[in-house]
Amino acid sequence: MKRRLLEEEHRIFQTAVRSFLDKEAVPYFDQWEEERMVPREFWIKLGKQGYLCPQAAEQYGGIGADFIYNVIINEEFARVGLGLMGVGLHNDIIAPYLETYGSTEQKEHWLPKCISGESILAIAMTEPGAGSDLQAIKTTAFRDGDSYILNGQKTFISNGICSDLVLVACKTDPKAQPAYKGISLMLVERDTPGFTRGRKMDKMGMHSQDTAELFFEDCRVPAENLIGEEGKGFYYMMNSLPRERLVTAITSQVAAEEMLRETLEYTGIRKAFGRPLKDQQHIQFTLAELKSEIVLGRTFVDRVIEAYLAGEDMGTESSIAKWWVTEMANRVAYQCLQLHGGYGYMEEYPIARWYRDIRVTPIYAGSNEIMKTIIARTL
Amino acid sequence: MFDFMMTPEQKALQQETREFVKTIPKQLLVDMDQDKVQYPRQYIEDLAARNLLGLRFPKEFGGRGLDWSTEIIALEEVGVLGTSLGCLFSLPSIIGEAINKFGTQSQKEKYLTKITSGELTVAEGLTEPRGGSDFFGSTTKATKEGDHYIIRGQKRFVVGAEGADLFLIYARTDETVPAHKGISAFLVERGPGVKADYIYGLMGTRGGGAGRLIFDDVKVPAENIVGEENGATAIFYQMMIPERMTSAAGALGMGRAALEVATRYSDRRKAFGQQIRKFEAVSFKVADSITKLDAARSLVYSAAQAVDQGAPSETARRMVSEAKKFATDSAWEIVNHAMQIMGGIGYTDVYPIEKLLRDIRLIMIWTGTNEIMDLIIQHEYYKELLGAKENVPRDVEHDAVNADAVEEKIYE
Repeated sequence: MKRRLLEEEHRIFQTAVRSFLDKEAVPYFDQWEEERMVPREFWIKLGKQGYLCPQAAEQYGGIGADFIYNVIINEEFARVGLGLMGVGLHNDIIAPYLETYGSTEQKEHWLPKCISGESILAIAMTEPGAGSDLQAIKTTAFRDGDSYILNGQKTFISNGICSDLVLVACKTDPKAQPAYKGISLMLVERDTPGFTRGRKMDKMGMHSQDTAELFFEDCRVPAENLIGEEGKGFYYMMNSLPRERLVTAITSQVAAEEMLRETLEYTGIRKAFGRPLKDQQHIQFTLAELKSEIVLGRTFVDRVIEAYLAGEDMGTESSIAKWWVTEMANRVAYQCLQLHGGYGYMEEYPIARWYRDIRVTPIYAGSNEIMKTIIARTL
Repeated sequence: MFDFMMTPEQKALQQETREFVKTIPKQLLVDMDQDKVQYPRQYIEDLAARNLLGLRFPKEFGGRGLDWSTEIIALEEVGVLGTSLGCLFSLPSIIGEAINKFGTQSQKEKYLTKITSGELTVAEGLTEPRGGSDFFGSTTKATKEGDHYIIRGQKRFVVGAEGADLFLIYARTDETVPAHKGISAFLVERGPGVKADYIYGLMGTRGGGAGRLIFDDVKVPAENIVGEENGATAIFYQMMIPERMTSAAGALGMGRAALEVATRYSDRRKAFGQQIRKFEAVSFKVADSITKLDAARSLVYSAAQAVDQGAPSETARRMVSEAKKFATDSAWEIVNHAMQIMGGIGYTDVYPIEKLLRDIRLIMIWTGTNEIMDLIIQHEYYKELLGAKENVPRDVEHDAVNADAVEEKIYE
C-alpha cells in the first residue's frame, strides 16, 4: 500500500534529509555513540539546513512549516539511530512551549538561536522522587524582586549536558491545592550561577543521547524567564505531552521498520541446514508476524499524525499509539535479534544497538502504565 | 530451590554456595562488564578451592558425586551473578560430562581431576562462523597422521576461550560419510597453533572470555579423542543435558535476582502519594514474575529428576530442552518486568537491572537457540506419543458425539 500521508513535495524533502544524514550523520554515528554525545557542529549544520524548529514563524528565522515536515525529520533521524532523538526533543517537545506560551519578547530573544542551532534545548520535569507522578516534584522557585530563586534537582534529562536553555518545571507555590496548580515553567540559561550539571548518566542504550542530572542551588533566574503564567505549568505540559507521545510513537515505529529491514537482509543471506534462513517456515512466519504488526502500527500512527495535522484532539489516540507501538517495537527487537542468532548479540550488528535503545521507549515520554491510565480515564 | 523440597544436605550446599557468591567482589562484576577483566581465572580457582566445581563427578576425580537435582541448587545460586560468572561455573560441569561419560580412565585422571581442582580451565568449541544451531555442518577438520591428529578450523562465540587451558572441540574426521557419522570430539590443550582472540563487542555477558578460537594445524595426540572416532554424535546428544541444564538453572538465579531488586524497590518507592506496590500495574507484574519463576524452577527440577531417575534419553532430552526454553524465556520476562517496575532509574547503572537485561538476552540463543529447543521438543514428543504402547490413557477422541462418523474423519 502506498503511504498516503506523504505528497510529492514531502517525498522530495524526505530524500533531501536522508541524503544529508547519509553524509553528515551515518558515517560518524558509531563514533558519537562511543563518545556519548552528538557534537555541537552537527547542530549548527542542522540549523543551516533548516532542520531545527522548521515550524517556527519566519520572523524568528523559521520557515513556518507544518508538522508533516517535523514528522519527516523525526523519521529520518530515527532511521540513523534513536540516539539522535535529542533533535526531535528540541524541535517538537521543547520549542513549542516557547512558541505557544512565550511572549513576543521571549521569542525574539531565544527562538532565532534555537533555529540556528546555537542554543540547544532541554526540558527538566523528572526528579529523583517524581517520574510518572509529575505533580510530586519538589523543585521550587520563589519570587525575589525581579527574579526567582530556583532550588531543586532534576534527573534523566535528555540533552542534559549539551543544552544551553533548560525549561524547568518547578513549584512557585508548593502549598497549592491541588498540587498541580502550583507548578510553573522557567527557562534557565547555561552558566546561570547556581545551575550545575551532574554526571552524564550511564545508560543501557541511547548512548549518543547525553542524559544528565541537573542541580539548582539558589539559582537566580530573571522573572522574565517565566514561560506563560505562574501556576499554569502543569496545564501547559498536559497540553503539550500528546505531541511528545506522538513523536515517541513515530520514532519507535521507524525503529521497528528499520530492524525488520536489517533482519530481512540478514535472513536472506545467512544459511543454516543448507538453506537461507528466510526460506524456513518458522523464520518466514516470524517475519510475517513482525511485518503484520509493523504495518498495523504504521497505519495507526499515520492516522494519528493526520488527526494532529487537522487540529483534531488526539490526546487519547497519542497515548494508544505510544504504548502500543513502543511495546510492538520491543517485540520486533526481540525477534529480530533472535533471528540474527549469536551475531545479533554482537555490537557489530546494528540490531544489538536497536535492542538496547528501544528498551527505554516503554518507560520515557510517560511510562506505558501512565498511557493506560490516560486511556482508561476516557472510557 | 524450594526449601520444602530440599534434603538437609541440599540445604547445606545451598548455604555453602550462597556464602561463596557473597564473597565475589562487586568490583569484579563491574570490571568484567567493562571488559577490564577479560577472564577471571581467580574466580574459577576460588570455586575449586571450595570444591564447588564438577559437583556431579565421582569423588575420585575431585567431584562430590552429587546428582543433577542437587547441582541445580548451586547453579541457581551462582546464577545471580549474571551470565559470565554463571557460565564459567558451568563449563567444568559441561566439559567434565563428556570426559566422565565417554572418556578413558587415563583421560579422567589426567584431565577431569585437574578440571575439578581448578588447575585446568576449560571451554567448549562448538559454534563455527558458518553455523551455530546447525552442528552437523561443522567444517573444522581433524586429519589422522600416525599417533596424532592435525586439527584445522575455527570456532566462534566460545565463552571462556580467552583464558581456558583445555578445549573440547568437535571436528570432522571423515568426510566420505554423512556428517553425523564423521565427526569426532577432541580434548585440545592450549599450545602451538591454538589462537584465542577476545574480539567480540558483546551486548552483555562480558569479561567471561568469550572469543574466537583458531586452530592452525594443531597437533593433538590420538589418545585425546573423546569416545569413539567418528562418534561425536553420541557425545553431542549427551552434552545437551549439561549445556541446557546449567543454562536453565542459571536463568533461575538471574530472574530471581532481578525480581528481588524490583520487589524491594516497589515496596520503598512512592508515587501519587503511596508505595508503587499498591498499584496493580506494579504488583501484578510481581505476581506474574514469581509465578513464572516458580513454574520455571519446577520444570528445571523435574528435568533434573528425569535425568537422575534414569528416564529414557529421549524423555530426558525433551524435558531438559523444555526447561532450557521455559526457564530462559521466563527469566527474560522477569528481568523486563523488573525494569518496567523501576522506570527510568532501571535503565541506568544505578541499579543492576540494565546489566542483567543485557546479559540475559544471550541465553535464549546460546547452547541451542530456543527455536532449536522447539525442534527437539516436538520431535521427541511426536515419537513418544505416536509410539506409546503401554499404560495408554483413555483416548478421549472417542468421546465426541459423532466419534464413529468414519466417513467424516478424512486425513488425506
